[in-house]
Amino acid sequence: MQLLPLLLIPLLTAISAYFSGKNAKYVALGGSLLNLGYVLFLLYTYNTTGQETITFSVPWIPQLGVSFSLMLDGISLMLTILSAIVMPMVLYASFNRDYPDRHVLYALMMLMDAAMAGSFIAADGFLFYLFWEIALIPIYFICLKWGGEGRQKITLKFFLYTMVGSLFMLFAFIYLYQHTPDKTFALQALYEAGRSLPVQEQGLVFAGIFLAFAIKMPIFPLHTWQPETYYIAPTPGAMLLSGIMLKMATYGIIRWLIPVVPQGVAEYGIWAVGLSVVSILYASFISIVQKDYKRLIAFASIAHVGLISAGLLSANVQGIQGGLVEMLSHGINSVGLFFVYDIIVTRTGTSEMDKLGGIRSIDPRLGFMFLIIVLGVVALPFTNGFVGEFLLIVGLFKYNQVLGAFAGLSIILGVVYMFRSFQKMMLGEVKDEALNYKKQTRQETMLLLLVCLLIVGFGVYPKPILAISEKSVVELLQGIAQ
Amino acid sequence: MTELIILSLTGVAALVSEFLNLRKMMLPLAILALLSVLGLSFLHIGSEEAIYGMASLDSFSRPFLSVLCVLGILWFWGFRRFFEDEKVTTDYFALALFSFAGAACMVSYTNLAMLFLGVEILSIPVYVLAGSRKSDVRGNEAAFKYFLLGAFSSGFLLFGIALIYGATGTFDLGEITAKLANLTPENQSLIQIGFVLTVAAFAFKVAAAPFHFWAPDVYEGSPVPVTAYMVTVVKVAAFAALLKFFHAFQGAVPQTVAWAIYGLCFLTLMVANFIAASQKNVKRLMAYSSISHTGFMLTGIFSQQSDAQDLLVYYSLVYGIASLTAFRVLWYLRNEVADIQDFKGLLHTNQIAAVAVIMAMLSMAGIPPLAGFIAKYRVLAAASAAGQGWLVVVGILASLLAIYYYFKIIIVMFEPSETAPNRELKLADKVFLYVCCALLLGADGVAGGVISRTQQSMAYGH
Amino acid sequence: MTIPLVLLAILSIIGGWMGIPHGIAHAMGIHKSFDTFLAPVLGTFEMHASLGMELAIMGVTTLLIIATIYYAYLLFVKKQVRPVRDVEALTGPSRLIAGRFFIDEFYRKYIVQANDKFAQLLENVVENRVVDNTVNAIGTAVSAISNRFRKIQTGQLEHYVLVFVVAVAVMVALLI
Repeated sequence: MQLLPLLLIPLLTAISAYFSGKNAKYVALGGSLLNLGYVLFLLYTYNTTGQETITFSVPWIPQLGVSFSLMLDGISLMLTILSAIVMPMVLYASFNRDYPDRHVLYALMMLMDAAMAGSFIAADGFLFYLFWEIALIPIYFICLKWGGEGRQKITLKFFLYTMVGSLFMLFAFIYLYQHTPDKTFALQALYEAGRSLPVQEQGLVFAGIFLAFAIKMPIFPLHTWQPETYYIAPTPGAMLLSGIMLKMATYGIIRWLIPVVPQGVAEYGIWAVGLSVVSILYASFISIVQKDYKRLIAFASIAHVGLISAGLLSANVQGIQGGLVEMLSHGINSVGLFFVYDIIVTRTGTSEMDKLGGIRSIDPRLGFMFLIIVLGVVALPFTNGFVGEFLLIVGLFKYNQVLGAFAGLSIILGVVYMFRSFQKMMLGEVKDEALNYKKQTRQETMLLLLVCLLIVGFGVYPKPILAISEKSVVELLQGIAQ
Repeated sequence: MTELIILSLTGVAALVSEFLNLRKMMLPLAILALLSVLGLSFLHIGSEEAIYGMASLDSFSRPFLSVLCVLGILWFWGFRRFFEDEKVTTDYFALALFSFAGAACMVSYTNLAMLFLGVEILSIPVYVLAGSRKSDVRGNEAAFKYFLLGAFSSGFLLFGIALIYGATGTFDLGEITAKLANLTPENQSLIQIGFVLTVAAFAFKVAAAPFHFWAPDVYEGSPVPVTAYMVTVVKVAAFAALLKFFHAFQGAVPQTVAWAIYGLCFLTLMVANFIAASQKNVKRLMAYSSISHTGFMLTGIFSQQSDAQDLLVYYSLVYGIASLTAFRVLWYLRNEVADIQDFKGLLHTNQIAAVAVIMAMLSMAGIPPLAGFIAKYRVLAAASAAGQGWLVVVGILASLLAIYYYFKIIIVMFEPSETAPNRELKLADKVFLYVCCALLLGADGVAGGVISRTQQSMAYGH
Repeated sequence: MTIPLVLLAILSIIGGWMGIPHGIAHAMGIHKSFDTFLAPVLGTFEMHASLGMELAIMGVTTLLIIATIYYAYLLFVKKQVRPVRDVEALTGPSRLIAGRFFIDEFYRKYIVQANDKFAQLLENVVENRVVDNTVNAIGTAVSAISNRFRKIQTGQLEHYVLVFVVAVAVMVALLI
């Protein structure tokens, strides 16, 4: 019962936002803050009750072996916290613009939030798939209605691309379902079914499920939808996509891939890890030569998520813990990066870095806070990025030293492209586009400040964050080892 | 028995009302008749009633009859203006109701003679309806093609039934099944050829490739309401009859024929979806979409072993509702020739209609949380359970292509509109669209209920 | 510049305690909590050199720092040492040293520029040609197939009947 509000609060907020016309944004923000409060309360109870997993289950379509089962352990809690923190930030970030038909926009955003929250706590394969897909619908329509030039083709490509992966994941789930003794989609039953398969079949299931995640994250060479989609997406849409939505895939690796076919991962995982590392390097290099700041963030996101994927698939405590922390950091940093984009673009009308320059001298506050965000992204010690990336690389290094070393390069390359973007936009001479630049509004300062505080806060004292998921991660890995 | 009598009597009443000038009474009467049949089917869902050894209302036919009634009610309701048209001289009500009675025979037959009668009673009024716009060349062409090819396929059906009769000496489905086990080799091959010919005739009726060629032409040429009737009621009735036929011959199908039928599934899925991808006329697009659904349904019922009926009931209901919604809006936009561009900007000119189309398209594309998802899911699961992994992959490919063309319509609706706002929908039509949307959205949630209802009824039956 | 320097100075005083050698820490009875900062994740590592080794390292470091301080004193306070301004004028080893071994130039040429070129190559060839085109080719292929197969729908009744009969014939033939 404790878990239902995680779905109901966003859902009801979506409905009330739809019916509240111009005030939709306040309703949505209020709802998401309420949700955050509830999640923090859950965190408190979770910690005080000795980190007991909270479950909820009622039969739903028993004929198909589908139950409405939810489960919250440390890993799910981490992701729930992520979406609960990021969501109000995204909503608040959208306050600086007046979107047409905003009641629809905010309703869709909250709907997506509900679906994403659901995917993080689903304990039934069918239910997970449902939430996974449902989350796609609102963001598709957000991009189609409020997106930029060329959105029709790009969003369709995005949708089809995602569906390719999703349907193969569904096939894999069906296959597992048929191997459960009493024909059910329940999490544990799928785990047992998956583990009982011979290694080759585990490999096939692994491939099917990983395809879905690899497209969603995305990983080279399945990433072509992503820069385009981020580029045309309205800023809140882009924040949702990179801040929360792609974590559905990385979370999926932890919950719906590694424990389902552990032998398959052990046997064939090296390919996926290799691909992830290639993806890191590839995206980093591409980022270096991007001329547009938003595309740069898009590729940077591919690089970071590649590291998360590689670390998670190493299937050791450091890798998975690092991945979880990095998901949280990446969510916060994405909001920061896209918000800086939004601030610059609303003032200058361009995000092409060559046309920008010297913004720091006009708006030193933005310069300073952007610097902190950049430092967080490049994983400087004492920022949130460091904890995650360090652990990820340690995990990966334990798994395979060569791949670990290559992945380590990503930090250096990250510094190159992030600092370059900082240098081009913030330093140097003031370019024409930046001339009629108006000062930050209070809303903008508040949000950026919040992002910076979170970056530094998590970076300096990550222990409580790590403690949330540690027990669950260890248990998960013990479960596999048996 | 009562159900069939109600349907036929309402048909007769429609004929009488024509010269008594009571046509205005017909719509409520028809809907009332269908409602009462629906109610009866639900009340007696567990009981079994044999009708003179020719048909039987039982756990198999009652769920299908219920689905047909739901679709029929929605059809009469949504397309009622079709009957109000003053220029019309033919009595459409009588034709539609008689055809519906034929559909009822087809879902409840236990005797092959009855099957043939049902098919003809269903089809002949539809041939006439297809050509109901007498001055329209396309309509005439459609009616003519449909009639000629329909007659041709009836010949195959009859030939198949005759061969089966020749081998077993009976028309009764139960007796045929009983005799399948011990046949002489000559009779064995007679039965098999009879089976193949009958299946071919069915494949024609449900428009499975390569027997589907009539469908795009006929669907495009016929008036929109008639097309809507063909893709829903006619198709569901034919599928129910086919499923019963499959059940009767279960175990007697040689492996090669099984492969051939899987081949039909494959061809249907591929041909329909690939060709649909480049259609610009919405009616043709919907025709191919309907063929693609034929492919899914055929895959589902042929690979599902035990609860194929349950799958088909659910699929037909969901598919039927989505089709009716789409055709209703199509009819509202433009009476006949419909280009995809007609949908342009619909979201801005008529939001309810646009949202209804979005729901219908998402459902047909099989995207959660709409009802079409569970329908498609069950087909894929059935194919996977039957060990036909390749067919699952084909189904996935087909679904992807389907998303592509369904979304073309959705995307066009989001574009800014250049035309003036469309005329308002009448309240009754708005309610129709609301009901359809609610069913499409809710069916997923209550899927457990719907499915268990039919499964319970099956449990009673056995 | 003074304030940042002051801050750095304070930090350096604090920072030193974090990695304070075990021997000293032990002698002073300090509990080194920073060592276990990430212990929940990394596990604890027990790895320390002998006391003598630690002392030697500390000694060398301290000497180097004192030397540096003296040099800075000469450079900035006494101004006895003048930094070389014109590197080009020098030759031989002194040029190498004055040019700081030309490490910056080496970096620029062989690392930064090479890196940029490589990145540009990836962007132009792999990203824009290979990957993008492969994905778009699938779309093109589908419409090509679609347009070709569309034509089988001729509208001619005879063709439809022919296909019907051939299909039935094939299915019957499968039985034999």
